[in-house]
Amino acid sequence: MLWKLVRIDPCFPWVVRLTLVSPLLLLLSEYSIPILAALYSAVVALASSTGSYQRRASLYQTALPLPARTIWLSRVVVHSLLFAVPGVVFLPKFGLRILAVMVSFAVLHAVLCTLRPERDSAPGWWILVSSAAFLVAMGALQFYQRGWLFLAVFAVILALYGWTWTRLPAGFQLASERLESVRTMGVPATAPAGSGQGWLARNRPFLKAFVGWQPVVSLGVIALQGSLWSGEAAFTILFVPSAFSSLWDSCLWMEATPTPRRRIFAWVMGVPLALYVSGFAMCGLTQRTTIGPYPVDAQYLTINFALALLLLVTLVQSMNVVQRRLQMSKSSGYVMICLPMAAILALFLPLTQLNGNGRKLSFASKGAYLLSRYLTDQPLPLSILCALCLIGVYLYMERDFQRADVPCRRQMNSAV
Amino acid sequence: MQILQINNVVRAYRRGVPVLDGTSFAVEKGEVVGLLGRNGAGKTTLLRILMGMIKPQSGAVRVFGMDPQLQPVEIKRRTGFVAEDQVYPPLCRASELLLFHRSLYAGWDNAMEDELVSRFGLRRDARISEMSKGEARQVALICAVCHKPELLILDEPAGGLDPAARREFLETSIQLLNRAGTTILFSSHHMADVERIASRVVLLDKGKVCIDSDLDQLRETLCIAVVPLGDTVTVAALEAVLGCVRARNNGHSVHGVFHGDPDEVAARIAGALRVDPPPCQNVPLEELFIEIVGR
Amino acid sequence: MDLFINPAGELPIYRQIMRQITSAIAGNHLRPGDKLTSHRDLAERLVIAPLTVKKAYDELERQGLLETLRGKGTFISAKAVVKRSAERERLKEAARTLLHQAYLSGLDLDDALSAVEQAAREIARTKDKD
Repeated sequence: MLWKLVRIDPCFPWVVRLTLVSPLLLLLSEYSIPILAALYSAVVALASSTGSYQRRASLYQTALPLPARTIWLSRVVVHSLLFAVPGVVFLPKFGLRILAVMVSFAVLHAVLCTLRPERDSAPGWWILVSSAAFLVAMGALQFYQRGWLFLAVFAVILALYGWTWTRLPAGFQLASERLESVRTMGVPATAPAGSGQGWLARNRPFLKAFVGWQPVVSLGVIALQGSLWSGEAAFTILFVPSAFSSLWDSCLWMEATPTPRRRIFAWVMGVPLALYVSGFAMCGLTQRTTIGPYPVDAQYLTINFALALLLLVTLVQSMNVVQRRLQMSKSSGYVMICLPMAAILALFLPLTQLNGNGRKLSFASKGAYLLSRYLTDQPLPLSILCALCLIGVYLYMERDFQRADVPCRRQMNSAV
Repeated sequence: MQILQINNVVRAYRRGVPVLDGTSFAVEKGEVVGLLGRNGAGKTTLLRILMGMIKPQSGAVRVFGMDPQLQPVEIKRRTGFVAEDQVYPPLCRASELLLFHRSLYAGWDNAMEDELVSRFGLRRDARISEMSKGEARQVALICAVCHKPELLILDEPAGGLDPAARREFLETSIQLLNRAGTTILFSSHHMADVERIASRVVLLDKGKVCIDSDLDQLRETLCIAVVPLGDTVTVAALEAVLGCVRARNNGHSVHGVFHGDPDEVAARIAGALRVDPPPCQNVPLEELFIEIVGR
Repeated sequence: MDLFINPAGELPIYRQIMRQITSAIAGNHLRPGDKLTSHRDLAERLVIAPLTVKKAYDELERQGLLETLRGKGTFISAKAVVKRSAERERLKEAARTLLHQAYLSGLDLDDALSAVEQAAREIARTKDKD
């Protein structure tokens, strides 16, 4: 029964995808742990947004004639598989360090998911505080790779799960028993003359769509993490896609209004980009020049982050925009995602073969080495290249976006 | 035997804004009850409370004599549930989903499943994500009825369906009623559907049961009077007339819902307000709904 | 026997069924001893609740128009007599509607009467054809 429940879980397809993709990433060097972590957090964020993660279980699952504990267990299994599968794949090559990353995410997940198996079990502030605490613990884990620390973390996870298990009611709850208080705000009955003309009035819905807890939390977490560990790129990417998709969803309705399409486009694309930039700027400000206990030169980090930026912006945004908004066929959507990824990996592969200190070449071709060497020594051309790539992708998307008469080549949810 | 007992249920999501505020009614075995009410009247909340998905803050709920908070699994096993926003796992194929449900319920009727699948013209190998909204709802209905539930809870099952699909949905429900004597509690905004299959209607307004009556009796005992506005004719004056359920101002006239025979009501109004006997008539459910809960 | 129901109509559905059956008896389309469709089958055919049909049958049985033989079905009662007075009352109502229609169209009573006579001739002609 548990396996059947796991099979129908909305997150399950992501487990399969991850299993298929993770061996490819073994090609990367051990210095790419931040990238790996970033990738996994992005995937987990995506996977979470496909399921009814916020409700802890979908309406469909709650209506099944099964105890809440069974449903909850199936969800925990699915989410754990998201981390466990790649963790096992990476263990031989990356050893304990990647396990540390995986375990840390598992802890984060345990906090977010098990403390609130239903809305009632923990108040929002408690989730925030404990998430922050675990992020700190995660940084500590990177610094002090001690066996007992791992054991302790595992023990904490188990304890959390066990505690949740005992607290679960017989049936899943869709709403909290606790009451929220109502805030009332004085709003003038009629708008004064001349209002609705200013920049603020025209852009307020966008602002409202974007200002939320995700950007605030993400920036805070990034600042905190940056001082502890170099994997903070992961957190930018963990939070920005969720901000992005919620922003996108809350702006969709404006397409039916005579709002200029360029403005919608600028907001929807600009806000996540601004978030990324500010996130990485914060990383830069608080950055240590080590990955865990290993020294790394600043240039390497710059490039690392630039690539991570390019990769993830392309991944997440092309995924959402190209496929969903522009109603491209699924296959061309995937091509749009995979091409830049392949290009980046091709560029990145020789780089990753460099040792932080010795810079010795293991198997990459000499040409690729020379190119990467050149790029490593000259961050400016690389940054320009990244920027050009980004602009290219954006221009391509915008061209399609501007064409209002793009025929619906295929509706996402309709039969072929 | 009472299948459902809802006694003084209170449920709020925000302080001081109760969605259900002392709702009480009961449903007998074999009844078909239409749950009506405006958007936000608490229909969905009530149905979810019955499924044990939401805990009421006070009051008692019994389904088959059991508490949905304590024995939700037992209740769900004997109940079929279809919600308007029920989302099935998008990548699941219809056949996989049906297999899964077959393994969940003991009394799964394979013949019925085959019959319904062929009647709806569903492809078993189609994924939920490839289906239209109507097809996905039909899969939901098959999943909800093929274990021959004793109670069927439908939360706006026909929302967003075209008239033909709605009719097929109703036909299936009625066959189920005929074959298994299932009790049905459903909420709907399609009054014609309610008139077709409901034997009783419960109207929720402001969290309370505003009308709970046999549908035919409701149609025959309630009438609408349209009284032109005048010196003596106000909403308050009309509401003071004996037998008035509710009155509202419609701009040029006051519309009142009255208990009683139309002619007799007209005479009563004429006497009380000293006006000419106003036109009074029995009206379809849709009009009654608008007059009772409209502003 | 084909029934037609209109859920948004002025009368409740069970009344519509009762009226149509009564009219069929009065018009000799249904004769004493004829078997009626079972209430479950009729409910499925009309897509209405079985209880509604049952209610209509019960009511007609109470009026003495139908009788149920256990295990055999529902039949038109041998002593089914439609009360003419009630039928006449209903006819008067229909006539009133007809006259309203005529007056609204600017026609007078004679026009209405001639229309009725013409309709009667047409009906007689179709009956002859059958």
